[in-house]
Amino acid sequence: MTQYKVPKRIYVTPEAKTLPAVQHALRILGHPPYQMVENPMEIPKEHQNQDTLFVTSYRGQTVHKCPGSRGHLCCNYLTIDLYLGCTLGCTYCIMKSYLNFSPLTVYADPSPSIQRIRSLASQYPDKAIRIGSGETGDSLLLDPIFQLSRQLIEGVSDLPNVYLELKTKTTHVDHLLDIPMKGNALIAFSLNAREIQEQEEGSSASIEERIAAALRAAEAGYNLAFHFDPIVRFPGWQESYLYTIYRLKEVPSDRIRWISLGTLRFTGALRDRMEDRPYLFEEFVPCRDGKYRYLQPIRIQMYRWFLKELSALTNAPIYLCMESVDVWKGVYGGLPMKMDSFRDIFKNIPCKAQS
Amino acid sequence: MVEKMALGELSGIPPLFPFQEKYITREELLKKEIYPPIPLWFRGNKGGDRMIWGKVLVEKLKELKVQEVLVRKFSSDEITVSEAMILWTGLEHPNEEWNSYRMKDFDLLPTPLQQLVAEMKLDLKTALRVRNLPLEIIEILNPFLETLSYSQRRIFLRLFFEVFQRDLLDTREGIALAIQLVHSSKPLEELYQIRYPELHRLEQTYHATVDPVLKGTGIQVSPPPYFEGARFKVEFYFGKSDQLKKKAQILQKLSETIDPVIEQLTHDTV
Ligand code: SF4
Repeated sequence: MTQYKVPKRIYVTPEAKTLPAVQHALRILGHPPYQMVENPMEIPKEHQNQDTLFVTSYRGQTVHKCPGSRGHLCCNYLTIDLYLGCTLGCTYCIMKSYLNFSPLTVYADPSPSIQRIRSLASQYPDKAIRIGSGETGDSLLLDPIFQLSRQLIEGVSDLPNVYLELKTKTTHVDHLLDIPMKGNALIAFSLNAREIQEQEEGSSASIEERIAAALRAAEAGYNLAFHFDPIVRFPGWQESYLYTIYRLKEVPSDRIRWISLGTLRFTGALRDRMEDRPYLFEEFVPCRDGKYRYLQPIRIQMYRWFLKELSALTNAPIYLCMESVDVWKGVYGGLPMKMDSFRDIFKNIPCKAQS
Repeated sequence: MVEKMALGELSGIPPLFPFQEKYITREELLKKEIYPPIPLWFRGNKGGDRMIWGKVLVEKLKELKVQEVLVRKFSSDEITVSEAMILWTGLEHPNEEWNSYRMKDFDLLPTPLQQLVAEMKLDLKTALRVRNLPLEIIEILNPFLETLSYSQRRIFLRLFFEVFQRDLLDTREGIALAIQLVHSSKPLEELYQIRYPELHRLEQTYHATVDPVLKGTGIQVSPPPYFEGARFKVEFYFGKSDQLKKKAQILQKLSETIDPVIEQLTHDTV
């Protein structure tokens, strides 16, 4: 199933033009016309939107620390920008608040990121380095076209302490199945209640399709991760999420490396850009990081429920994404740094350290 | 070019916008013809001429028995509705595109909301968000909205519209809610409770536990904002050690009963 929208127009920077990923993409897209620009500023204003594809090579810092959230525990995840923007169209997408007037951007040369990861891995050989490309867009939505994840996986596959996570709401895994050396690469799927997927996650793959793609990835030798994020509260949410959890049982549990949980959250700015979806009529309150979340007792209750249901399924760590100390204590009775199963996940990696 | 026009002729020209400006130049200045020329939009045979603003001014000049009035005519090639609106509100944004977006949005609003925006009593963003509220409801709420501050008005309209949508109210039910609220002694608080019932319940639980113990003691215990977190704050004043002892005794008493309530409020009440 093709979930990406074919871009209406393409702009390429001169140094990106000859990159293998760009050549591959142009071939797959049937050699469409494109225009050369030095930088995104040269793209006409009326084309500065997600119907436009801007392909460039990366300039600047290639590996970042996941921004986390003030007053909330961060799982010390590192991020790389490969794809900036996404056309799947989830109604709750955080990028609405800042990417509305930007083209869909592809940083088509992952080699500086690979170098950076390699240097971090040798600097911290005893630490598990979790790194993902799904922070600024879907890791795999455009990947069959550009094949950047293949380069990444192959580029770090010999590093035993690097866990490269490719997070998606698509089924786009087939182009990655034949990679012989996968290292610790994980294919991660965002999961949600079926109703939420159908009504709020735009042109994303259905829950069943995602599980089927996860199975294909597992069969090909990948480890898996799942993210119940954003968990949305609506009448009948438990039954609905149970269905997804039930489908998750199809996946071999020993392949699951971790599961994260995060209830719906949004900034005031994002709320202003979101249409009035029914889920927004729940009670949200401002938290210490300025984001709006469900009332704390409600969140704790929801997380406890997920923890109970998912623990029956896997021994993999199930952790909370961007949650407060008090919620952690309410759900687990303690903080992740003090729990064996989370220590690796929450260990700090100072990504600014130099090689 | 500014020119003069007979007042009789001018007062026959209908206003461009359905709402009227409030501000009027002082009488002694008007008598000296010190007022901005009234802008007119001459659309020829494209739908009649319009007064961009100045209707109230014209009425006042009529009272003063002025015969001729200063006007500035704009042809329809010269000025767009958006520009006319900017002229009317006196609000101009340096970014042209922004102006036209804003005007397109403004045109989508029903008249009472346009009026609130034009009078700068409501921001355009809120007005757009609530624009699908039935007109009858806005009309019922309007006199009450006038009594609120700018930010209270925004909050009230947003909360009302959220309840209207959340509870899938029809116009009749919406009108009933509007009437109930405008007759309430504390409309905003009441609306807040309707919109946030769980939060309200937490607040009630909290007060039911804490207030009886602390009433009249001068001690104030505040829960974390929105019950987010688990840190309660105690405040009191004392001047002598026996006062401090007394406060400590009261707090001791509170400490004996508060644990389950804290647990309930911050962890798993719902
Ligand atoms: S998949 Fe992620 S990035 Fe894409 S629209 Fe949905 S939330 Fe946004």
